[in-house]
Formats: sequence, C-alpha cells, structure tokens
Amino acid sequence: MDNRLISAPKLPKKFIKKYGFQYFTSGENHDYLAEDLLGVYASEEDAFLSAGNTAFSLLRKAAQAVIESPDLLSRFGIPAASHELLRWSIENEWDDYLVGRFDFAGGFDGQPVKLLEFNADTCSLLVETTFLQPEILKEAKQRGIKNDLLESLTGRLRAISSEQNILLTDLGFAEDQLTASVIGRAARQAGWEDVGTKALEEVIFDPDDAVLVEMGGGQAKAYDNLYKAFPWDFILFEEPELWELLTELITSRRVKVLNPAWSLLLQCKGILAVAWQQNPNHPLLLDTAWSAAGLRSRQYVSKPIWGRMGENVSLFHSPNYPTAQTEGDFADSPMIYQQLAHFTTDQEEYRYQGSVFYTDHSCAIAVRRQDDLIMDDDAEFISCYRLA
Amino acid sequence: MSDTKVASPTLNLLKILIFDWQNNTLSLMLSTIWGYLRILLFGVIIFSVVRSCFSGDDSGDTTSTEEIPTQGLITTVAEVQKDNFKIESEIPVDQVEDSRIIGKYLDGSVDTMTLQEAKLHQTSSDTTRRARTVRTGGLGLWFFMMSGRMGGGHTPRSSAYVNNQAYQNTQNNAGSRLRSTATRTTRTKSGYGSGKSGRSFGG
Repeated sequence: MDNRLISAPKLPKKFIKKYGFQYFTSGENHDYLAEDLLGVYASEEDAFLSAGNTAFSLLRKAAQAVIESPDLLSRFGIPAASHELLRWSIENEWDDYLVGRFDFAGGFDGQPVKLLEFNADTCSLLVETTFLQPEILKEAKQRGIKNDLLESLTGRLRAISSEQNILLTDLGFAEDQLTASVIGRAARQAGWEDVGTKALEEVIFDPDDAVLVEMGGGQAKAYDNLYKAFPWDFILFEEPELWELLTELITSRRVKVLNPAWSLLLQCKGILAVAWQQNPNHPLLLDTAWSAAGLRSRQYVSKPIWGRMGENVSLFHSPNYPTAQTEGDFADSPMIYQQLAHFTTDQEEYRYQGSVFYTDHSCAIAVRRQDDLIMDDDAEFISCYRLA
Repeated sequence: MSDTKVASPTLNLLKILIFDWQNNTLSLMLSTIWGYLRILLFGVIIFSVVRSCFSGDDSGDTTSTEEIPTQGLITTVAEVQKDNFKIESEIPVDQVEDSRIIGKYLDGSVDTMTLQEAKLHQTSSDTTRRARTVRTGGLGLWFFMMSGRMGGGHTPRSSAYVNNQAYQNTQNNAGSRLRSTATRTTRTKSGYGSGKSGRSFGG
C-alpha cells in the first residue's frame, strides 16, 4: 500500500475561501484532508464500481422482503403507523432514488471487496468528492479516478421530478448545509432556478396544502421537491408528528422528498443481516446476524442498526470481550453482528476504506483512512489518483 | 410579528367591478356587489380578530394567515396524451358544494366527479384514471376545493395546464375570484427539529 502513496498538495487558500470550505480544513478538521494521495488501479476501480451496483441490487431485494415481514419490521423497530408511507414509497417512488454511499473493506492489493454498510439516506463526503478531491488532484497534476457524482446527481434530479424547484432543509449544522449545497448545485446545473434553503423548524408542513416557506409580506412559496439533510430515522423516532405530515404530503403527491422514504430500510444496518440470509456466502457480503451466536466467525463487530459515524461499535477478536470499542449516542439501539472484515493497511497502520457513491449506478469512488481498528469520525479523507 | 396577511377589500371590489364591466353582465355585477359587501363586512371582522390576536407582540411569532374558499370551482382535466393529464379550464361557481371535476379522456369518454367523490381519490395511491384526474386538478385551483383552504403559498403550476393561455386564464379570472371571496385562518411554522439534535447527520 505504501508504494502507491504520494504527497498531497495543500488546497489553495483562495479556493477554500471562495467556496466557503473552511469547515474541512480548519478547527477540529484541520487534519481531515490526508497529507497523502492514494494511487488506485483501474482494475480496483472497476471492482469497487461493480460492487456498488451489485450491493444496491442485493439491498433493495432485501428491503422488499422487510416490508413484507412483520417480524423484520419489528426487528428494525419500525412502528406500525409508519408502514403506510414505506409501502407507498416502495410502490410509487422505487425509481426516485437520489444518492447513497456504500462503505467497503478490502478492494486494494488483490483483497476482495466486502460490503460494510450502506449510508442510504443522508450520506456525507459529497463536498469532498465533488469539489475538494478534483481540486487537490488538479494541484497535484494527477489524473483522477471515476468521479461523475455531480453530473449524476444532476441527471437524477432531472429524472425524478419535472417540477424545477427544490427546498434544501437542515437542522443548522455546517456539514449538513455543505452537503445540501451540493444537491443545490446539482439542481442549478439541471436548470432548476428555484433552489431554496431553510432550517427545518422554519418550514411549514401543511398536509392539506404543500411544503411552504414564508417569503415575507404575507406570501409563502410552495416547493415540489424537498431535500432533507437529516435522515428518515430521525423523523421516525424524534419527530413522529412530522412523519405523519410527510405521509399525507407525499402520498397525496404534494411534495417529493429525497431520498425517498424507502431508503430508511436500506439505511438500517439490519438490512445487512437480511441480505446475508437471502444470499448466504455471497462474495460481496459479510456474514451478518442478529446475534453473535448466529455467526460462523468468532471474530466480529457489533454495530447499532441505526448507528452513524462508527459510534457504539465493538470489535471482538474473540467472543465476549471486545478488543476495541467506540462510544456514542446509539448504545440503546438494537445491534447486528458482522463478521470481522479485512482492511488493507499501510506501514503506519492506517486502514483504508473505499466508498462508492450510488445514484442510479455507481458513479464515484472516495476513500478514507484511519489509524484505529474502528473507523469513525476521526477518519481522514484521502484523495485518489489513477495508477497506470 | 411576521407576515400577517389581511384583506384588501377596496382593491378586490374594484377588480370585480372591472371584471364584471368587461363582461357586460349587469345582473351578475349587482349580485357580486351584494355578495362582496357581505364579505367586506366579514373581512373587517376577521381583520380585527387577526389584528387583536397579534398586536403587542412582535417577537417569536410563528404564524401566518391563509384563506378558506367560499366559492366553488369546476375544473376540467384533459388526457392530452396517453396517461398524461393537464388542466384545461377552471370556472368558479357560487357554492363550494357545486364544485365538480370533469375528466375528458382520449377514448372520448367524460367523467364528472363531485367534490366528495374527488376527495376519495385525493390521497389514494391508486393509478386509476379518476385518481390521476383528481391529482392533476389538485395541481391547480382544485387543490383549494380538496383541502378546504386557500393556502397563502399554493400557486398553481403552469406545467399542470394544457397551455399557457389556460394557465393565464386561471391566474386572471378564477384564481382572483376565489381568493377575493376567501376567509382566513392561521397556519404555523413547523418548529420540528428544534433542540432535538446536537450534531450533523452525515453518515
């Protein structure tokens, strides 16, 4: 791995300032962008992209099984009142998926690509992949790897809605707003002139009318499309009343919410256990079960099914006593147990995790690395160049 | 206090007078004037109520006003291509209960639905012709009939109409009449997510 690392140039300050990307280069994130670039072979690139396409198909098939199974819906912790929207979403907006990101182990130096999880609903790394990586590669005068993310997002928006307006809503966090801004950019690139932004608490959800934003002077504007920079599981568990309103608005076709509600089923890590059960020994999947006893491997990790950013993950090299553990907010979440994956590491013990963005196909690759056993919020983003 | 919308009775009266003069229908004009005077009186009362509700507190207001239709509407939706529906016309009628939605289909058939019948299809996920007709109508002014409200923010989308002329007709005629005869209520900003999370959600 080490022989494919080369020194990464710093992003020009002018570029960072111009686009307001200080979030990724200063404060707690001052060392977020790796000091190296990673070389990737075309064969590895192809393997990752192919893995993304296959994984999407496998997980969607699993989601269809979940919605038909009261037992699985119960295991996912999804209350009965929310099944209506999920069913409707599968039946009516199955083709309206915008974007998600698969995280994989392996994929370098001849190691097999293995699916770790799918950030199906509100994935991060959009800014890094669409803007930072190309700029870094430009500075380094290196050829990039597959990266059609922005163009693909543009294409998806055009395909999903004929109404050329979208409201980007968030909970006020800088990273989410930056992520949403990429969707806004894609929308403008699609020719949508009406791209609004509003904090969630300021948005009016009128089930008999529309998703509205006050414009002043007694006027309000209706939006046909809504991109939410917070996940469906947040709405489901934290704001159930909003779930009800959105159910009415979506099913009466007054608004399209992106990603569609069914992405919730793929966001839940329980989907990995379902996919494994449907496809035992599939080369892309890791053995995953609802209990450690259900695994064949004695080396595994436990993950909260609604967890994020590597929180509350425990890594076991032998049963019962964890070798490594992370803390977080998801300790009360149901867990799944996943066979320990093999990561490619360098001499400094950095573990490399390849990610694939999926829109209606695998459209971009991004890589992060971390010198810990568990990849979490401390991971670095490492830009990739193409090896001959 | 933010965005409390109040009636502009004089302006609306003038609009209706001009509209009626242009159509040269004296009887309609007289009945409209009488109808409007009743609305004007009611509007003054509502204005007072709204103003008294919000006076004296300009901070943290999360409400805005919207209107309730007091007139009905006959919307005609045409199937312009197979499975492609557009609004052809929208004509106001005096009573909400006289509202109808009429579907005209490529096979030559015509289907008329009452407001109640249309509401049955409003939230259904079926893809029947009737449901599609109602949903298309809902993109225009028929929306107000189904919701029972005007909605300060709902603007019919031009893309929902058979052509730009049909859209302009709505904006100039049926739309303005429906709005001028509407009463008002309040609507609230969501407030969702406030204080519920301490960090971003990127995964």
